[in-house]
Amino acid sequence: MQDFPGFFSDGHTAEKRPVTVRLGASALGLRGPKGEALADWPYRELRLVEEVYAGQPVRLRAKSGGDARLVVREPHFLDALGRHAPQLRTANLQRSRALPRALAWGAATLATLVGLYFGLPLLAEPVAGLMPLAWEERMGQNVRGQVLALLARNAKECAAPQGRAALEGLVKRLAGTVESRYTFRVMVVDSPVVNAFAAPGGYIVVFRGLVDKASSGEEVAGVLAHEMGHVIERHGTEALIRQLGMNAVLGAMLGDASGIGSTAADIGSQLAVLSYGRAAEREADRVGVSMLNRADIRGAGLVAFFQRVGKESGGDDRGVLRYLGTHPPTGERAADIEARAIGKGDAMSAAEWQALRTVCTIKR
Amino acid sequence: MGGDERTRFPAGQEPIVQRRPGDPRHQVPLAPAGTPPQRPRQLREDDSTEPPPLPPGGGRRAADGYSGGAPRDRLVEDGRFGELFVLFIINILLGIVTLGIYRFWGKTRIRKYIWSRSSFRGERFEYSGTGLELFLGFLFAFVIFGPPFIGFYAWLYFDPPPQDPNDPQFLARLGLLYLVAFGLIILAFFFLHVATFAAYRYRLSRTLWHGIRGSVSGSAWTYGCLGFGLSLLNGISLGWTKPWADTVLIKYRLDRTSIGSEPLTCNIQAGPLYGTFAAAWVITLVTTIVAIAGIVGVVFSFRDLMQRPGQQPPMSFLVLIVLLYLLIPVVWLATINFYRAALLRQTAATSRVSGLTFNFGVGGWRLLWFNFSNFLLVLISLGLLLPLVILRYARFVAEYLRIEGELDYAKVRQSQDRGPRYGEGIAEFFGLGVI
Repeated sequence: MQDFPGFFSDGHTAEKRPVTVRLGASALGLRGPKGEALADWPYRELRLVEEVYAGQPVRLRAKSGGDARLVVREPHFLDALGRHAPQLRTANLQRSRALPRALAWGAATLATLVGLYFGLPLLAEPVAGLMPLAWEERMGQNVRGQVLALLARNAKECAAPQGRAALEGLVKRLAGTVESRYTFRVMVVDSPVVNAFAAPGGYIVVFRGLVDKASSGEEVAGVLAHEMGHVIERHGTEALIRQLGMNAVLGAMLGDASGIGSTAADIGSQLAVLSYGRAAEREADRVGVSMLNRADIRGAGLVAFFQRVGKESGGDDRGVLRYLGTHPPTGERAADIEARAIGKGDAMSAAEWQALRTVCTIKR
Repeated sequence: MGGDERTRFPAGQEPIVQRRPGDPRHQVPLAPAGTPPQRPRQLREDDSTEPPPLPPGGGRRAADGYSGGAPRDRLVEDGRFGELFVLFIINILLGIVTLGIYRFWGKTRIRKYIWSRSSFRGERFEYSGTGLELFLGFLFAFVIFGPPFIGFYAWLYFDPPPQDPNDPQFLARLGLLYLVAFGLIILAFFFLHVATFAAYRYRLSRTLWHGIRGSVSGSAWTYGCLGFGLSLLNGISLGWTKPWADTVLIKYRLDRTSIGSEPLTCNIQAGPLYGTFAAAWVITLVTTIVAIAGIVGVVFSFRDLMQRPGQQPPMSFLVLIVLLYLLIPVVWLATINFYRAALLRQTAATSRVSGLTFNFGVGGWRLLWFNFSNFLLVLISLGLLLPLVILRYARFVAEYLRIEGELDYAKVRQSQDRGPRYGEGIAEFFGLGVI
């Protein structure tokens, strides 16, 4: 049995009195100067007021002791007490355990981040399926505006009626082969960039550079079918939801509730390039080829376009590089498309093809 | 509870005292083992470093053993940056692991540390709040305020207004957007004041000294209406009602504050505050005039360049414009420190509780440097030195706050008000406050 000097305040007045603290069999006994019993605190009810660092006093309360407090300055007291009241040990920081603690939590943090990085994207697909069509379309318009502002600032829309009719006819023919809730709207933009992209909700943009580089209507049809595949599979919507979810979670972690707001503010800008990742590209290929097959359009066009664009990318054509950057033409993909494509027919008549090539003679 | 080691240990028991380097008590020799207590215990108010009360008839303070003790009239702050920094880092890591939920427990841990490292007359303060209280408070606020704000962001994100001005819905949608945003801002502004009061009440009810807790009566909603109305008035009066409005709000808070059974009173008057406020206001006005004149001058001197078609304005032109423009808020934020210092001095000087009076003798330049250096520390370290800034706040209070007078400890009874059951929900929701 061991005694320690301490100070006790009963929680009713601000008065403090010296006490002798006795480590009893099952309770901490607090005795006044004349040996009178002030309180007996069962060990299991003891709580530290705060964590105790080296050189700091030990301050205790009891769960049933109300606002009463005990202070003991003697450093060994907490070690002695810890043998009776093991619940106090974790708050005993008299001997520094900072480094091992920090390392352990660092490892746990890393594991969480890795888990989130791979786990969170899995939620995007079911969530995207729940989104109303009107929302998706409005979002798509917004994304289209932002991507255009980024890739082709101030570029005008090409509006030669026959060319537009040829393109729209092709889109309608392809869209007729699948059942989907989307209305496809296509526009040609007067820009030398060799690219095409699909914003969520069915908004497809073809740059003039792509039409210029294509050698047949089938090549344009192949690219269009691929982009429509992205829309049908909701790749853009899912990517936006992923982005939003990631930002919201990171915001919550770092304690910034306004993170949701700033995310909304820079909507789309990080997605402007709309790179979807390999799995999404393969999926878009698969959907695109099956559309071409059902519309009976030669799928070889898409492969040919890939291969020619790939060869030319040896030069320093920035537009070509851009298309390859977002649509990596691997040999595997080309082989896959070739194996599946069974369409035989043309995408459009020779006259329509000519009209499409000159669609940018009239602009608005 | 620092140490007068001489009186602490029973005869025959070796005193074990850890004195940090720099501890002024190094000058004081420890009592040799076996020395009986030199002073009867009943003279001491507590186990503190506090010097004993002056003997009847005045005279010098008893110097024995107290030369290194804390002065009676100020707070003593002995928190260490290293320890707080470890807590801070662990909080960040745990925050990530728990997707941010740990934040409330982390905040509580930091508060417990800061509170326990401040002492007055040898008695350390105690923070008795829990992380669960803060968490429940946040959940409560989230249920109420979450839907409108999150709904607004979701609406903006997934269904943004049309960008094409020719869209038939363009004006209607944009107007609706601004209307809703304006309503939310008004709502947030009102709740900012409610939250300030609620957070003050929660913290005080969880702050103990000598086992006695503080309490605040009054209504957070009334305070919210008061704060909101006065803010509007300050806008209408171009700021000239601000010193008065500030005193009204301070009085509302402090006059409803008690330490245990002892009510605090505050008689702050707006009159003495108008000097520093007027100076800040006039200097900012002059700066505004000079800055606008400067901007006009710069535009004028560059006008030849601007008139050429297709000419981009040179970098120096833009930099000059931005610098001149930024001058206005910078000058306001700097000069208002002199007003803030006066407000702190006046608040302390006109407040009292039980037998205690206060003094906060900080000057404008000191406050300006304190705020500016804290801003720089956070900015340069990208927030990593936040624990240092928190510690600097505690040290700042310890440096300037003086508390004179005597307390009859036996007369100060516990507060009957246990305070709010949950903590600071609204403040948490709006991200107010660092600690």
